[in-house]
Amino acid sequence: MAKYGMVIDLNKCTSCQACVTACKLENNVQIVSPDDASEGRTMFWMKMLTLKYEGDYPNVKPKAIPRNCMQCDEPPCIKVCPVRATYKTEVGIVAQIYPQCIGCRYCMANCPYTVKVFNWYKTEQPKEVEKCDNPDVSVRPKGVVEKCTFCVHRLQIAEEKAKAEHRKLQEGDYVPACVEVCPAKAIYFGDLDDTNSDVSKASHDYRAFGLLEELGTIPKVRYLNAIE
Amino acid sequence: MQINRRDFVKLLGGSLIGFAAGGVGEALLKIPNSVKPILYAGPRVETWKLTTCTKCPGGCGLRIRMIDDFPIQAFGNPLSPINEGGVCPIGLTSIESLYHPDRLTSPMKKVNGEFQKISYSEAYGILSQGLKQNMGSAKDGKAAFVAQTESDFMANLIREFMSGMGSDKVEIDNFSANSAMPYNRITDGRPDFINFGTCDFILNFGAQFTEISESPLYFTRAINEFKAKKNEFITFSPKLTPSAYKAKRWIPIAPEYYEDAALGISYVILKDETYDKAFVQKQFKDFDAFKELILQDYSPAAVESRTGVAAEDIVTIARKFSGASSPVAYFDESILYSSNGIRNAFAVIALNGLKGFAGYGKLKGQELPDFESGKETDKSKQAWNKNMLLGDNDVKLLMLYKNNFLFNSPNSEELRKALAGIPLVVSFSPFLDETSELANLIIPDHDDLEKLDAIALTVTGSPTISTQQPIVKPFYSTVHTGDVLVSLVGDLKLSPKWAYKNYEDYLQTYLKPVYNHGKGMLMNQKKPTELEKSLHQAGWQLASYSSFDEFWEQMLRYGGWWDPFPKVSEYKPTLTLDKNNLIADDNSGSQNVEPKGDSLRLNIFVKDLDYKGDMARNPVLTEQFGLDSNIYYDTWVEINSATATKLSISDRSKVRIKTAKGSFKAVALHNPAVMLTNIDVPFGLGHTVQGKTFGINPLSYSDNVFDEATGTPSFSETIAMIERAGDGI
Amino acid sequence: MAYQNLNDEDEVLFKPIYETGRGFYVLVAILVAIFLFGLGCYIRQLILGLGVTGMDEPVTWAFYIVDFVFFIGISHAGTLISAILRLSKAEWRRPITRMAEVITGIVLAIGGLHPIIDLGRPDRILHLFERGRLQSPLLWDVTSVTAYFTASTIYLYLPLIPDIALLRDRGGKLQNFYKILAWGYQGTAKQKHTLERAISILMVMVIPIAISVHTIIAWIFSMTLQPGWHSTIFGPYFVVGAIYSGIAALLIVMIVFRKAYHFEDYLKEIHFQYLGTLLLIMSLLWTYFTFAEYLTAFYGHEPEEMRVFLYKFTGGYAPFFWLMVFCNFLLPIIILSNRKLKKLPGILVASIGVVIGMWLERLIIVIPTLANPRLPYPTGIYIPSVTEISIFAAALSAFALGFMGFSKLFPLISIWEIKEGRLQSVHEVSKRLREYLPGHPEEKQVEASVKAEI
Repeated sequence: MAKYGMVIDLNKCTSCQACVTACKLENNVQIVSPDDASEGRTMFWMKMLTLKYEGDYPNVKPKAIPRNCMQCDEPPCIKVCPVRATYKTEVGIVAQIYPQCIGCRYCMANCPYTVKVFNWYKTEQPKEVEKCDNPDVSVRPKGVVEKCTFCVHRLQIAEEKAKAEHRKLQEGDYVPACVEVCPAKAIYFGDLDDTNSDVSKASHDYRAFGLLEELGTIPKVRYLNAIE
Repeated sequence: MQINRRDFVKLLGGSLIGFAAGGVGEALLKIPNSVKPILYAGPRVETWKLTTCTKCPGGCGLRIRMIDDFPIQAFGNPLSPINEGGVCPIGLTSIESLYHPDRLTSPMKKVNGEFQKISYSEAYGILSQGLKQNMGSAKDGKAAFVAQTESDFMANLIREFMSGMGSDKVEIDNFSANSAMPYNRITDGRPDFINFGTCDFILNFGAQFTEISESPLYFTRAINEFKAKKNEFITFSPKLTPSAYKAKRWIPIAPEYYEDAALGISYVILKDETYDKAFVQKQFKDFDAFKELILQDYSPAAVESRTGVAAEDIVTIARKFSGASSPVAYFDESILYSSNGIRNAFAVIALNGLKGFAGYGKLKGQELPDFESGKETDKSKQAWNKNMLLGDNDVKLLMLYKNNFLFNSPNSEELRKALAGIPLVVSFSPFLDETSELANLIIPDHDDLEKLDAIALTVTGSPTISTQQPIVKPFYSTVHTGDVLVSLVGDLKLSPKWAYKNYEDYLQTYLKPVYNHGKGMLMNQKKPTELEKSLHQAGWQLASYSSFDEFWEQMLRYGGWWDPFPKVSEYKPTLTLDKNNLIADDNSGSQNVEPKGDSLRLNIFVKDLDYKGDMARNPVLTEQFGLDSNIYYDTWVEINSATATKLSISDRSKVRIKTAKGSFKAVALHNPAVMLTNIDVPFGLGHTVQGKTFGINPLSYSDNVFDEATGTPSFSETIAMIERAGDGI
Repeated sequence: MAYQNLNDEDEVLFKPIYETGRGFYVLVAILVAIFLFGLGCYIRQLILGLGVTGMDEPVTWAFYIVDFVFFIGISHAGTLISAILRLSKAEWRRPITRMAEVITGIVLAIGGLHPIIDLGRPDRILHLFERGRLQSPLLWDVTSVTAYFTASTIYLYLPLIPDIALLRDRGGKLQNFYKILAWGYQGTAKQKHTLERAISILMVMVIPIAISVHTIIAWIFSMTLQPGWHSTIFGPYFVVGAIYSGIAALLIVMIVFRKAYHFEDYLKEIHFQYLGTLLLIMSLLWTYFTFAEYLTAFYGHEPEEMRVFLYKFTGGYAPFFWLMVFCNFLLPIIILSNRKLKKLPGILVASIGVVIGMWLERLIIVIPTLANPRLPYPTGIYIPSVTEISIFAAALSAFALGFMGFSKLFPLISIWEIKEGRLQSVHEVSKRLREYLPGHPEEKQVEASVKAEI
């Protein structure tokens, strides 16, 4: 079985935020009202995060990373869920089952990366966007927790397609929306267990690091440091 | 209970059906009646269509996902040589404007201050009547046209139309044209592209390659490849934009000092005598005068005292520049956003001249349509711009195409008054914005997904024509502005040899030569391999068409044409630069902004998501506007942590910014990368029409400072004071 | 119900059941109004979603969870204290145990509802039972709170049976109600023996359950990886805090009802002195735990821990933190270690201080950690909404209503135990004394001196 993972090359990333937009539109992530946004309830599955500024002015550089769900191999969120609303699929994706979630938000409290978002209200998209909703992805009801799923619906579509064509899933058949649109091709995605895949090679690069690795969560989203 | 994937799919499917039922019902309320039946009974079939994004000059290929022929998602076209499948946030959200509830649905005229819907024929009648009355002959043109379009075809049509009207009062905001304009003034044409094959050093003066440039997507890839080859680029800019921090070094500098910095670097090269002597001898007119001027005024020490850029840095950078085999000093439209914008550009061109434009390339032979009329306008010392409307009583008819200058110009109050004095203002804007609000007549254009257009560009080194095909039939009674103009020229007999039927015909005429020379390929196959290249050179053709009609049909279907194997040559222009190009006139409007005491410089920065300040219409982008700062739907200012500590302004506290024009409140953010003398404020918020006002428009607090040659507003020459806001958060 | 004075020697304990003043009804009306307002807010929250609260990202747990921990803490007043006092055969427990147990029962019911109020999807609450995962500390919590609620309700009910029998025997409108509840208790030797045995088994059982409840609540936090929560001493720290706030709440209730129902003869100065001393001890213990907890965090100086630490000590939550230190440490210690101040008013002030302080402590544990996530997001701000505040107020009034309602049905002081004490305790105490006094003092002599002391 494949183990899907992602490597984001910060040397190539230009912080253009296309991944953020693509994610938002692909997964019908809600655009909350301005009032809610000012209360800190915006919903982004993929977010740009400036970790720190390195160096002194004027030789200062922000360390900005696109941050989605780390799809941990040892996910702290699954551990604490009281109702099996989140689980790790056999391909390593930490999935959410929205109809199961009771909205206790324990997983949010235990996610060291703070990637999960909660539906504080019923989903109401602005008119411009609601007609562009992606029919492959359900809109989450109010009161449940959601997060990046590595665009798991795309995996299902790719698998069906491969099956119909009587072949195995190949590298590149299934990529999440953020990977597809990245203008810099800075995101590698694929099977971490396949030693020949780009993503597996990149994840063993000398520049590779995982966010908060020291917590033992074994994130399957890794980053390549920028070359100075 | 074990949940396997099947169950998960079931659950997902269940909720999906529910969503589809609910979602459609909701959507019906806002869709025109004509398309309702399809939505009710559509088979929900997915199709894909290719087109081109014309929201910026980049010309990225788009792949539109449609359900029952209604666009729902946009992705990048992997076969487009420009973006190779990538796409930026603006491209991704290009669907949203199609369904925008604020779209204008039919022509409107203003009666007693209120807009009234009218038929197209009535609107056309009013417009042609107005034009008939205001046809002119010479410089006292009674008609004026202010447009903003990234399509050279459209720009050219507007120019032809206006020359038929006998007026040269045309301003067309077109990124590529604006970027090329300084070159057109002092050389015989602009370099077509940076030759990334040979270029090994880039000195970037304020261009935001990966965010706002002639092709952000192409440059993103090209710059990454450039860096991967261990080449350096250095960015001069007033703000640490991504294009600055992806560079090897960022030199913080106020935009009006680009000139000094470029000439300071020239000084070192001249002193070192490392310049391209052959080129300078042959192509540089009046080189000695230039040299004399530089050696007199622009020693690194002098530059340091004026600009604050360390003399040491100037020397180092200059040596790197002259040591590189094919260096490039780059600028684009953004260099004009300063009181001495055009001189900044001339200085950078001169710097390039010292190394013989080694890093640039030029396409050989004419493979793309050539729009001479635009270059002609550039040649004149003082091209017409909208600021000349002030005090111009001759203009009786003003036409506006998408240019929302009352929003993106600091002198909007004065312009508003000038507009009020014009008897007939006609707007072609598809939305009501700050400017079209004041029109007497609006003939709304189609949405981008409903219309036909094309973008031609050479920035990748391959001539490319990206075509935009109508993805859907127009939803409302809107009319393609190109069609309006084409038929007006015919009906009013503005041009004696005019024979175009409509805009499509017009485009086809310009693209026929491309078909005729038989080169290049459509965007229907992958980038040719080396084998294919050799086959091509041996005389094979990649063409999949046998007639122009087929060519045209396929070009629209595949999103464009390009030539992967163009003939290129070195770019060796003749520089007619004289001393006056580099020295300010005494009566120029430029003011010396040197913040003193507690006053700081209000530096307006443009975020990568916002192109001309018109993205506030798009809910996805508006929300994302606040992503970096985590301040949503509101204006913030960024201030260096050291400066803030000195002024005892704490992070994320409310502050008040005072300028000569007034004051506004904002949230102050500490940012160690802001220039010590700057308050950085983002541009794009503060729209007053369309019902929702978020944040403020910093331009309405800026001094009326413009680049005199182009009328481009300066974005960072306003003195401001910052203080803690009295009444807390 | 017309009140008949039967001239029982403990008549004053029966009186509140049969006689109700006007003030009582006014108070009930006010409390019901507050409660209904809170209920309305909750219904609005049910309809609109949790958006009506002040919670946001990253502060996803706030008032409701704070109140949950706080109320469950208060619940330790009861059963635990009464069980320990019973077990240690402290004679002065007799008028106290009932009230303590009632507090537990009511507060536990209220506190236990808070996690449900906090749920985004309370309609799916049954998922906890249908597809619960025992690996989740939240499910441990469901288990232990339910167990504790069951045990403490029975533990409240059993010692109530003899009193219910007394009430049944008095007749009145509710005779049938009492008849059912009295379970046919006639006070025979066998019945008495069985009852006492049952009580002793329960009081032994209830202590570990009570301790487990609050330990598990602490574990909800400490099982996570979050800075400020991931601490081994959280279990005992929470238990100490719980007992601490429980005693304070018990003292407040005792003082209020002593005044309202004229129990001065039963709740004497000495009871408050003893409980006050217990409160002082718990205060010191709590301070010790708090010190240990923060010292290790500070000394280790991990950046993430320090962000939370400084947020409490000098940052946004500093006012609450220092107010907590004042309420939980300075105030009780100054009052309770000073003989002049350790009188009823002083003890009341200290107890109120402690209850407020302990609520603040829960607030300080829950929110600063969430507000300072590990990754450098902007620090979260949390301001409770009207909904949350009114639901808290409703919970408090529900407690008061519950307590007042109980006092109108059952005696607040265990009558049979008082009677039993009057009959047997002098004898028992002197017997006990004789066992641990040196030498072999005569039984009668000891008994006489005990009586003389009283």
